[in-house]
Amino acid sequence: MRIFIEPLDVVLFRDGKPFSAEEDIIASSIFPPFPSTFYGAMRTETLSRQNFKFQPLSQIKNNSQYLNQIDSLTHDLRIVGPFIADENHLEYFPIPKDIVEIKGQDKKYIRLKPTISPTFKSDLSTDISPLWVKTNYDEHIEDGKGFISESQMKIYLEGRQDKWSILNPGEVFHREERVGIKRPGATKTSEEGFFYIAEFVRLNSQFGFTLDIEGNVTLSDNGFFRLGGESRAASYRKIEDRKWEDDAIKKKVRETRKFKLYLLSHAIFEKGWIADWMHTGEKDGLTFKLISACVGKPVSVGGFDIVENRPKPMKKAVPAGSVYFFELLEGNVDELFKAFQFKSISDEKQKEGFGITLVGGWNNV
Amino acid sequence: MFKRAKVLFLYTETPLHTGSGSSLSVVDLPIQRERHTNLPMVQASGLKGSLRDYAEQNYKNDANAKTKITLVFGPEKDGSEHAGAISFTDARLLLFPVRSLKGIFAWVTCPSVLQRFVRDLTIAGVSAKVDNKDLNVPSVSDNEALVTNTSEVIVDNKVVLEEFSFIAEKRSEADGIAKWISENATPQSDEYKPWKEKILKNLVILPDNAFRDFTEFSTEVIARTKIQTETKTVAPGALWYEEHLPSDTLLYSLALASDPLGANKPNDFQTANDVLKFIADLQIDRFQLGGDETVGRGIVKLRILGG
Repeated sequence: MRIFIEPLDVVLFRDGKPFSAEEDIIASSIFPPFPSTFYGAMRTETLSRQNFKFQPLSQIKNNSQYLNQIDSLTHDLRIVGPFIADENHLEYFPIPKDIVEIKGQDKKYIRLKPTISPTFKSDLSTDISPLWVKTNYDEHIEDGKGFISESQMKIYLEGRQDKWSILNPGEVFHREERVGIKRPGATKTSEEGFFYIAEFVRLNSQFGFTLDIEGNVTLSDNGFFRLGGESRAASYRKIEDRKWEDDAIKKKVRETRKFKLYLLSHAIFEKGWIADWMHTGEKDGLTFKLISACVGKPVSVGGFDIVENRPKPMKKAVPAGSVYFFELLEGNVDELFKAFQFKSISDEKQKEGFGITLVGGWNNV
Repeated sequence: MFKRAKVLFLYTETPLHTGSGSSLSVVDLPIQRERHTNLPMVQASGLKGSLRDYAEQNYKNDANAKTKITLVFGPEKDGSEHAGAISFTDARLLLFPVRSLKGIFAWVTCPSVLQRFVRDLTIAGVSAKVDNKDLNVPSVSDNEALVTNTSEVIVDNKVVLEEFSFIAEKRSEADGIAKWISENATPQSDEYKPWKEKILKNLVILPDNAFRDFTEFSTEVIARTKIQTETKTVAPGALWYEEHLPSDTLLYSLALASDPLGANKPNDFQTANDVLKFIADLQIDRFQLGGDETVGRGIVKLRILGG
């Protein structure tokens, strides 16, 4: 099932920084939000649609029967997304990290490639080829920021070069800081020490999120639910399933026997920036060799355990948009796509939508 | 999670100041605005706080009602115990009063505001129909002002708002919108009968940009001072400017209700319906919203629709 989600106005997707009265008075937002936020919202929504009787938090701690009941009703819930999408449900994905921006030039992008026989080596690993790109003498590159459209993403995954048109973050959303106070009814004046600033996110009017939901989910054709902090509301409606034609991408991989894995969402790997099987070069009967990687700065993924009333352990994740380059040594291309396309490669929180991957082709030319 | 929704219409009877808390211009205390459109609005937290305050004052000595207030609006102290059962959206602008050469003032709005309004009505499950036909939001070209067929703000085929003139264009879509608002969104009590009729004659639909300009430059900016008792002159440094939404502005917000979430729910308080009934039973006619309560600002007349 696939749904389109539109916040009714602003939404608050908190980061993991502390927020309390008097000291840490600023609650800042992340964007795009973590998939776990949507997973939680969908879990609550589907329980609510099954007329599940929610218990107060004080009564559910150590109440294994209650928690098991939730688990049995939602254990097969999985999500892919959320992805930014316009009103026609055309999706925009995080810009791949190997598409970089030329500093100081408006919307000029080029693509990094693994070097064939590098004249220089990185101290990270001798097996891995550095990425490079030839620029003019006075041109410097920096991380690209923004979102790439579905159609351009396919061109990118086919390994074709294009004049990339990227949506800047400002074309998709704005941050809206709001000042809050506490005003007790008795005095009608603001209370000392209760001044705060919350940084909300407001999507531009034509944008929302698409979300693929798998499992036994009970949702009506449309409705509204709580999303993110402060019980802000979002509406949803069912939409047509995703049509993702990848024949041209498969053809490219067949020709070159080279593939890349692009992360649509953050992935948590036990070993940091790399999954175990990337090292060993074996997964699901396929054999491959890691050639290069383009990984962004780690993001901290946390959350709040409302049952235990404490923050969840903070994990470092490889950010969405990161790209891993491989050579396919043994294995069928169809099997490769089956193993990775829109599947999670994260070591943790797979059901919650972390580590969702797309397969693409590449070559050094 | 949310099971029921209602639309709250807020009609300002006195200027409304919901402060944004920051200023970069000559106005020291500007009002809250949407970041992407810059249109005035009232943040949901202020609206919710005011309604909670109203409920608490109303049921001062009723312990049973206090439990319900906590279930509806959330716990006062330990916010992590459970969420409230009602959420409000920011109150959005629907009609904005602007001085008119004829008819004293016109209620202006614009296509993008109306489109969003129709969408919000649909989300709330409220019928956006007039005479069994869907409300049709027309497009407006530059320099044009769409008016109703019974309009009373036309001078020489023009609508003159403040010092700007627009070519008047009578359109049936404007009639439909004016009729829907007059019947469903304006306060219901008798004293509003003349206003309900006035909307049929004074509604003007402007191009989006012109509408935004009016909401930026035609709000009420009030200069305030502090007079020293001894000298009867202004205290040094005590001059400031406040921005207000003018009287006769119409705003709307959605109230979305879920089943109550806390412990010890009374038997008659188990569902989203009971939550909305609690709000309806308050029978709020007027309440105070925003700052400057003691100088008479922010008196708002409420109408609840749908659900």
